[in-house]
Amino acid sequence: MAIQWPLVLFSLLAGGAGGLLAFTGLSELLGGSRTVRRRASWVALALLVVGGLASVAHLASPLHAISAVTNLLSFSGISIELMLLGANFIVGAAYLGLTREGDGGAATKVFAVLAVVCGIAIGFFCGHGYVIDAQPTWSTETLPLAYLGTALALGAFLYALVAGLAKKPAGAEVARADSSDGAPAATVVASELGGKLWLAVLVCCALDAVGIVAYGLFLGFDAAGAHGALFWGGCVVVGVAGVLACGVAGMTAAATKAPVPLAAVGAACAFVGGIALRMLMWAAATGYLDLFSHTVPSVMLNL
Amino acid sequence: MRKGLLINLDRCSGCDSCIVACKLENDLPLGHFYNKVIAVGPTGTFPDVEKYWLPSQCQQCENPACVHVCPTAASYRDPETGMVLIDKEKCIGCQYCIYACPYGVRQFNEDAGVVQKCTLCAQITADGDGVPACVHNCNCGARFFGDYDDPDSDVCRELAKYPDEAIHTLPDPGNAKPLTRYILSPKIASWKELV
Repeated sequence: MAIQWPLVLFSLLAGGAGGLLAFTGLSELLGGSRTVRRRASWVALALLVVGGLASVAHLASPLHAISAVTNLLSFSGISIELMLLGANFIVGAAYLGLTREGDGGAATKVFAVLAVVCGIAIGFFCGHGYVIDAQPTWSTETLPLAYLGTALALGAFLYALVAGLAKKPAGAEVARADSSDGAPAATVVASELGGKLWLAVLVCCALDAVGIVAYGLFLGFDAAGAHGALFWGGCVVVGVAGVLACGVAGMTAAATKAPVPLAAVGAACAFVGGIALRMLMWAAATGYLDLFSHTVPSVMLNL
Repeated sequence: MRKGLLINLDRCSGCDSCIVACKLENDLPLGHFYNKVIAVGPTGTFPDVEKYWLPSQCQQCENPACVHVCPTAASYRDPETGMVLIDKEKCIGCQYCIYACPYGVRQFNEDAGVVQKCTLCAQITADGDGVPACVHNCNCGARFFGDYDDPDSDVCRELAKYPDEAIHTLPDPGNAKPLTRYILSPKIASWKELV
């Protein structure tokens, strides 16, 4: 089946935005920099908008998106994706509004929890809409797991990147960063999520690897290997090995020495792996009984 | 009411008249189809060789996956007739119904920006009298149209002539419940599941 690029980009960018928001929520709950969280929220909102626009490009006309929005309660796969897209945007925007002048109090904790839930959900359900009987190569729960894993890995590394770039965070909650004089980027990153940022990133990398490998095993090496560059190159080498290597490196001294390059390379690997996985899904789609594709219409009439 | 097609493969010669009639009646441009005829076979070893023709189009599923995935209710099953149809005014061209159809019998019309498929010639059959163009123009009298819930309908009367082992449906990967029935007697050819 032809690769539907708007949907490939939508699901990864929106899912990555969800991952970014989930990390923002975790930072709010476990401790970190308000500046980093706000910047991460802005990036997430931007990704949601870009992803949403990409999905609109899949429709016959951009105006048709209105019809999809006005039929949200159909609870089809697309409707659920749209609901979660809207929910993530609202949660991200609300968080930014609440924290504009400082700590928003208890309300921010509520939105932090919502950010974690909605951020994880959009990654999963962007893949779950494809679990349909008519596509044997999609009809597996390993597919949404792979979508979720790749989205979370991208969001995790993007959050680390945002944290690493925030060298002079505002707010007293980053005392360790403020006291740093040698490697401010590293200390800001290290202080995120109560000092557990790189561990959380590694968990997301593991989910990414498990999801991709599980979907690859479901497809089987013959079917997946038929798209060798996508599967072995994009998914396995970059999406699994590259992402895992960056995740593991985050637990070593490399995270202190060069957190920004590490996060950037990790995000790049997660992006490439996520794209490759989605491309593979489309390329490997066969249909159950694709009757029209098998037919040779009458040669005599040249129809 | 469950209106649909019955196709007697014992009689089908693979002449493609149904394709031509459909394209003319529905004014389908080059490359667009609501139905196609697939050659199944030849299979076997000479002299025991067999082949049959499988006219394919929307199977008018009773639990259609295309309807379930449609985000705008453009794909729907008419509660009066049981016919699965597309409201092109509502279709946004997302193509999810194409992905969800187990039989690959929907097409995307890029010019119109909508998905299209067999309508059982609703423009003819909506008043309850006519039959689809493919049925009317079938040279071999292999195609029948009617209500599967009405014992006096064309489809039920034709079905009644054959034993159960000669009556088939396309394989169902989920719970779509395709309505279209195919008659293929074992003496003509053995039914192939195609999956």
